[in-house]
Amino acid sequence: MIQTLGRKQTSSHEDWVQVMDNIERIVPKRELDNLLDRSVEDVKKKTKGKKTAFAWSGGKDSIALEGVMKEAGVHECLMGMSNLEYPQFLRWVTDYMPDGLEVINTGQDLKWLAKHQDMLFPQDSTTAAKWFKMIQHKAQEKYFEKHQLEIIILGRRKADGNYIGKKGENLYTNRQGITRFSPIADWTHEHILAYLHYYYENPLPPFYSWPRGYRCGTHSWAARQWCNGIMDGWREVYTIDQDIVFEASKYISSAKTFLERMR
Amino acid sequence: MCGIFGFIGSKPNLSLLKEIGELASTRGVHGWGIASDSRFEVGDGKLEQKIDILDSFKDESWLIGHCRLATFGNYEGVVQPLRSERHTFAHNGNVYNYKYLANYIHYTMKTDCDSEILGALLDVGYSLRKVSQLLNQPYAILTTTKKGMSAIRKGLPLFVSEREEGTYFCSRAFDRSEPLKEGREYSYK
Repeated sequence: MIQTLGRKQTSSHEDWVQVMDNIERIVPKRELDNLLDRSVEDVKKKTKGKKTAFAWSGGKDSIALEGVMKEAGVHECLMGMSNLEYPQFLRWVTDYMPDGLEVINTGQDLKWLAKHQDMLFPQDSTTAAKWFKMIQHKAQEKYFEKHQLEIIILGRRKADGNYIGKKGENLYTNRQGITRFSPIADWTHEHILAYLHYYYENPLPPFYSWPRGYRCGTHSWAARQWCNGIMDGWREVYTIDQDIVFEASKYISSAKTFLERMR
Repeated sequence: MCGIFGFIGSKPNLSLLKEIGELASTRGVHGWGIASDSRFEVGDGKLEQKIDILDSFKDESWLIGHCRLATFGNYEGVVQPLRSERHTFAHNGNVYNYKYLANYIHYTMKTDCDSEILGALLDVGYSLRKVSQLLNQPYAILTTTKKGMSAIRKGLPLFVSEREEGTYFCSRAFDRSEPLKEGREYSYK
């Protein structure tokens, strides 16, 4: 494989599109098939006889993980969401979500956002991590407890800088007793794109055709990262879905100001 | 993304009915609706938290339930199941071409719910199978008919279990259930 993409934070959306356009040259199908087989075997080995489910967000990593899970016979999964999701994304989810999906709504909405405006369009990794903890981690914990899981499987990858366990292990148990397993930890960005290219037959989630799509990935609209300030955040969201900004302007003054400046 | 469930037969087993209601609610967390011949109940939030409402349907010979996941902001929108002139139905999926379809059959939409068009098409005589072919999108539909209930799905899940007391449907797999085959219309009395 020819590795061309660096960390998501340092590569542009255009870099990703270019790799996707040349993916057959970069990752031959045989190479991806070998990787897929190894990941499936790893899942079968580590989850044998254990109550297991996987976390699914609708993003490209989740789609690849879903493929591995299907082959490994794991069908139950969860999606954490808030009331601040893009409608277009939820319509896509409606059409293409895995059959075994359970939705966990952590409940953040516009009223909540009005009281926590420091969370809007995160400008630093700490705030971005707070969003992740509040929605994804919370939903995973709830689901883990409700279904008394022994292992929860995640789409975390080293190439994204995600924590997957000590010394390169892809399985660990945290202080709360939740065991997390990341079977696609070693997949590169190119492998993920290759999976989408060779195996995924449905339309891609809408995020990837939006501004800075591959860089931002899946996210609640209020958690959109790397905008050049609040007004730029509203501008980007406005280009994606004007209705979001109009609705938000009833609760958040900066959205109202943005719309006034638009006139 | 939504969850649908239903029953047709003599009298539902309440414990199983609650089980499938709870399962359906894992796919739709913002609101729910349950319709039968004589009743129509709706509520906010997860049906799981109001599951005992199903006790009041214990004597019904059929019912259709729907758990809704709202896409944005206003969660007080139309709650399914929908009632058209001649049908009560629940739909999981999107109807992107609903305006075109409404125009095609000279139908004026009464709500902002895209699924409404499905009832209008059924009312003017389209078969459920024909209606589904017009969608060009994944779907699962459960509807009443003159003689009972029909179900069809493609790309989205719908499981069925035929028991002594009647037939149960749910978007999630449940005990002794099987997925409907894709694109095939099933009828139940």
